Amino acid sequence: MPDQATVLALDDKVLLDVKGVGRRFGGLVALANLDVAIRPGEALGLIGPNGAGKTTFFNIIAGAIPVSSGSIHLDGEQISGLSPDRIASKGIARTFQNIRLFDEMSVLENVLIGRHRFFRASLFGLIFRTKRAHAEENLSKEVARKVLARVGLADKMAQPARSLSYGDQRRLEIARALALEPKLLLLDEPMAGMNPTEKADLSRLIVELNRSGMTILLIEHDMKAVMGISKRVIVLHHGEIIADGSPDAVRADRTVIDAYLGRRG
Amino acid sequence: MRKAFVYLTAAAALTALAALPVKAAEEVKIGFTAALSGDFAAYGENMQRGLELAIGEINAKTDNGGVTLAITTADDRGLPSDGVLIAQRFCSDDTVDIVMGYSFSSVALAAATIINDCQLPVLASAVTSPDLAGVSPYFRRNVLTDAVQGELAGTYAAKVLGAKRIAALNQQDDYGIGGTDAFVAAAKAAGAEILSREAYVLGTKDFKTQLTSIKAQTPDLLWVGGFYTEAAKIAQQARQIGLDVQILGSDGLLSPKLIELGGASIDGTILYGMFDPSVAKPEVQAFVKAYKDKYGEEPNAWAALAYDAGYTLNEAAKLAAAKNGKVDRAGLNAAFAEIKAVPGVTGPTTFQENGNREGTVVYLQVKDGKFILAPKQLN
Amino acid sequence: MDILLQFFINALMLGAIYALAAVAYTLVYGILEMINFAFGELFMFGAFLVVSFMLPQVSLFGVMVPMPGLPFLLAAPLAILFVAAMGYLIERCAYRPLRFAPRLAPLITAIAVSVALQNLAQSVWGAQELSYPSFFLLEAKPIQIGGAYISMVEIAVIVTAAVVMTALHFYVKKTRMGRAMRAAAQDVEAAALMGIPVNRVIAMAFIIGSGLAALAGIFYGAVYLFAHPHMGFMPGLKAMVAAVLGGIGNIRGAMLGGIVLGFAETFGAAYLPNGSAYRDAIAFGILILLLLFRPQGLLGTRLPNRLADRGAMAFKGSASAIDAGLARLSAFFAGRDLVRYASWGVLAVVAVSVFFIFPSPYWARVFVFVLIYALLASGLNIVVGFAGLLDLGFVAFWAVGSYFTSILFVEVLAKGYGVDMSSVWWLFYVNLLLGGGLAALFGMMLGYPTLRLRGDYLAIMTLGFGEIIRLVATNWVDLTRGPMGIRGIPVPSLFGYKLGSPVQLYLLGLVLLALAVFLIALMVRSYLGRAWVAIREDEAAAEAMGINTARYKLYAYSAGGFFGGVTGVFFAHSQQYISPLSFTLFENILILMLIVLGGMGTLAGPIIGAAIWVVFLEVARDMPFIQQHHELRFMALGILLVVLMIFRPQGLLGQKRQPLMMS
Repeated sequence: MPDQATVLALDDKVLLDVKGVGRRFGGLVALANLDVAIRPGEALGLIGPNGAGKTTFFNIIAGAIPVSSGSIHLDGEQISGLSPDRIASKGIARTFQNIRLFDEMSVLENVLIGRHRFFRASLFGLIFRTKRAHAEENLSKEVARKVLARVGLADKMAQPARSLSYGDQRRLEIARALALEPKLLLLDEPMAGMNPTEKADLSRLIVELNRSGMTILLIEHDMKAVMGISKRVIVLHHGEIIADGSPDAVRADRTVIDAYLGRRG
Repeated sequence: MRKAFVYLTAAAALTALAALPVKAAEEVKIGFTAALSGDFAAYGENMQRGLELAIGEINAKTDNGGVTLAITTADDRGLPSDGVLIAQRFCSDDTVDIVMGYSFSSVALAAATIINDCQLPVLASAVTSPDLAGVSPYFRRNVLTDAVQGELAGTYAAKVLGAKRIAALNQQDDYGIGGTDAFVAAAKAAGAEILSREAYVLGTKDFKTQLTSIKAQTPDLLWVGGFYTEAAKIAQQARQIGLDVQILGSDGLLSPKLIELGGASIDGTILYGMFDPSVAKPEVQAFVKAYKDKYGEEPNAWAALAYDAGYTLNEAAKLAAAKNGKVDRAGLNAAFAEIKAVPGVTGPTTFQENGNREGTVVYLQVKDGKFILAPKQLN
Repeated sequence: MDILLQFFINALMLGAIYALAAVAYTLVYGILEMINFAFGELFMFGAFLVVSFMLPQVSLFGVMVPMPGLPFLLAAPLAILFVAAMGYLIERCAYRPLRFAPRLAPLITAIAVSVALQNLAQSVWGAQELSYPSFFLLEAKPIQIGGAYISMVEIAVIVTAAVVMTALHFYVKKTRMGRAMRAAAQDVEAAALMGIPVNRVIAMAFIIGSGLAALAGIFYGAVYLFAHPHMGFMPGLKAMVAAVLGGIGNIRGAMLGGIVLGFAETFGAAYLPNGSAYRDAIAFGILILLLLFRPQGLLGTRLPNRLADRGAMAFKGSASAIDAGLARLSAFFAGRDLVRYASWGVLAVVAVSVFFIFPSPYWARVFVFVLIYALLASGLNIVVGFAGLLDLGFVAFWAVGSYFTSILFVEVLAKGYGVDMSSVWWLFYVNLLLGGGLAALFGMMLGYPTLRLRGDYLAIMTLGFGEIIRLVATNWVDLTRGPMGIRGIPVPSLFGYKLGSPVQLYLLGLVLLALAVFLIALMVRSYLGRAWVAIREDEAAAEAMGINTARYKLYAYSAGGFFGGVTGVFFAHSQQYISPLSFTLFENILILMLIVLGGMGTLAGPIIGAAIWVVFLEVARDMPFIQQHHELRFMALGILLVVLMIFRPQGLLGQKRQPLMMS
């Protein structure tokens, strides 16, 4: 595998292009003029101290919060201004910082929700259970089973989501997002609250996913965890990007250290 | 198990033996239905009380032609659908000989087809919709239809009271609309001008808006086609905004509660009804006293009509028992057609072929917290 | 000019009463985000208590009881204290256990409390209106301003309302408890973390709110001179509308909302065509317009939090002794195939009913009603149980179906064109579809403006819609024959063979119910049902997974509406007579409660709930104490539901997990 620098030089194709995005809440500037480009196949880490604007940035990409200024393009198509469900249908899937599963649904059904955008059957088709309706349901079930096997939940498919352990719930959230067959996967602190073994497992899973071609944007509070996954890290502080580069470069960056230590830079 | 069975059989046999020698009195069972819960339970409750009073008196008689009355009650909540269910319940219950009650015409209308199919006689006492006339050969009522009442009142307003400028308010239901339609037509025919007509929903509390508009029209008479609860509020609020106008009301106003709720404001209001609590007739006074003793309140038109219905039923039952030796639905229904001028606190009861009652109304006036016979009557 | 001045006075007085009660709603909503429907009943208790305290004797439970005969100025504070205590107790016993339950639970509990209190009042004080005893304010002569009059009571109402609300304003602004309340209103969890005694703050909000509701009720009684068990219902709804109007959670907004509503109602009733007949619809009309264009209310700044964190109806298991016992029953069904499970429910009903219906037309008729309510509940269950949207206007769909077929058959074909109705027997079957379709269309119309709203707002909005439909059916006499109703609707028939007997209707209804359950099962067991349940469980997550929540909510409304409309058609033809009296808010509440009783979001729950409740209602008629106090039947329902909500929120047979996939 060529190193990051050569890739950048050879291919400046961009999957997600964030241009001059800002977000204000009343007088408060949560995000100021962000420019971020995510390339296909990349695993980009987004770190920063509490309240830096990481989750706001996520919510803006996913459409849960509208931008105040600037624009976002996915594969050259503008997605800023679209509703969250439209953005999801275009191929951006996310997980939530505080797990948001559909508690009363089974593990398999949760993952099938991720397949929602692939269903086409009409009401007529559903009521008369046409071949097509059956076929697409079966296809999605097949995909869902595969995804669940991949995250290691194959033996828990029939359980209600709420009965899973914390770590498994995190995995299920990722599986649900994967079922959407996203171009870009947004992971919001997926390792929060996990013990070291769980963290290691999940980290391995994310790396595998990225190796198989999935573009990932990962928020993590814990710098160490990101470093093992991402080749490129962005540091957000007070709504601004204060560093962008390889993990090692970022770790050595003076402003970043100041930000994490609480000094204003 | 076995033992118990033996005892039971023995007990049953003994009871049967004991019952044999004396001829049991013929029990006529009334299926009573009305709205007994919900917003408008008060009217149904009045009816039940009037009827139960009559039943108690009748059953206390030593010689009543071998007839005793019994009652079972069912709450229809004022819902047509419950009316259907209850009608079917009474139809299927062989012990029920007659249905009485009904506080809303729409409930009776919904029940009519079922009652007709099972040939169960009905004697209703508060439903005035013209649609109910001739709805079934088994359906009768001892209250005049609102059309008849309204027409008489319209003529009375224009001719006897000499009203020239009339404002009308009506309760938005079959009772209020039917009565007021007839009232307006008759008053116009008799030369009065109808300045305005507005509807309100049963249960309305605030009339100030309508009354303020009415005040600006300077009417000399205000017609209220509705019930006492709203009429009391209309009278009070009229006085509160300085509208001093003669009120003429339909028989739905005839309740001591009108005076209790309306206080001084209601004084002078004229209304009509079939029951005159002020009349010095002994049977009326006895009824009023007995009702007060039993329930701690004075009877109103609903109670009086239900009370009379009880006595009318008793007459029909006695007639049927004398003729057939027993009282059944068919016999009872035939007897209703035959009985004439059964005396009662609302005057004599005779039924027309379409089930309506023959009769007329008297005009009453509220004076010093009492109903008196109005000084002017329609001749 | 005089007339305008008089209107102004009337409006101000009415507005002051609404404002007082609206503040009660807004106080509690601000902190708990819960609409306490029971304030309407506390309002009523305020009036009853003050009247009782002022009289020398009062009939309680039909027994004359001597009373102190207090003067008004003593009786009123006493009544307010009493009601405040009631409010506290209700919060403590019925709502606090549900503090962290899904947001529909406290709302349904509040409705149940309200039903129980209404019927309790009828048992205590009787069904008659109690007249207000005279006291100094009533005896004073009204003041004349030009041609307009204002009575001393009205002055007292307006002045007291102004003083009380100013005092409240300062209380909330300046005192420690007031500041704690505001903090809790901002964010309950954060307030708790900051060491604010949240339980005490909430209890205080209920105490003050209940006191205000009682005060409003006392005044309302004094102005209109009466007390009645159902007097609080409509003013309660109006006050709630006023609170929303001003921006719920905002105290000054509630005051403004009350006044605005008072004026809108007074002037609307005066100047709109047929305004006085439609006056109750005015409030709901304004509400709908407001929610369409400015859902945050007149003074509200914060938009109702659209994406609530709590699911609508997803219960995290609650442990209790009752639960353990009933859990066995659920365990029997758990994990079984959904359609089979539903068929079990239907089959059980059929099996039991067969023993009754053939020998007795009465029981056949009872089961026809079981079927009608089961159909309605199944339809509403799509909206409430699966999609998690509270709908208090569902009876409107039922009414649309009923009126559609009745007007077409009787008014248009028979009366308009002189068509022999038996010659178009097949039209009944067509109308089942058309009536359903029309109602589905109404569902879209109702659904559209509510899309931006969350649970409780939605509840009020749908309630307003349902009431408007009922008022139109009552007052548009030319179309619907108004309160007189439409009669002579033909019974269903097949090739000239009438299906009019109770048993035939029962069988026809059974076919319809089976079809309905089957259709609903097909919808639920697909991506459609999954999308609904996902919205119910977590709307934000559903959106993030690509579900267009607005669209699927509309689908839920239309699907529910469709079955409501179908039921309406069947209902009209089986009863042969319809009138607006059938389509009341109370019926809607009843249908909702049947679903809760049986188990929300299950296919068999609505059917079982309907069977249990309708059969109980009929059996209860024979009980001796019911023969004397018919209202106890409904009080029992209210209490049963509160208990159910606390101990077994998933319903009697609520299976917790529903398969949502094609098999």
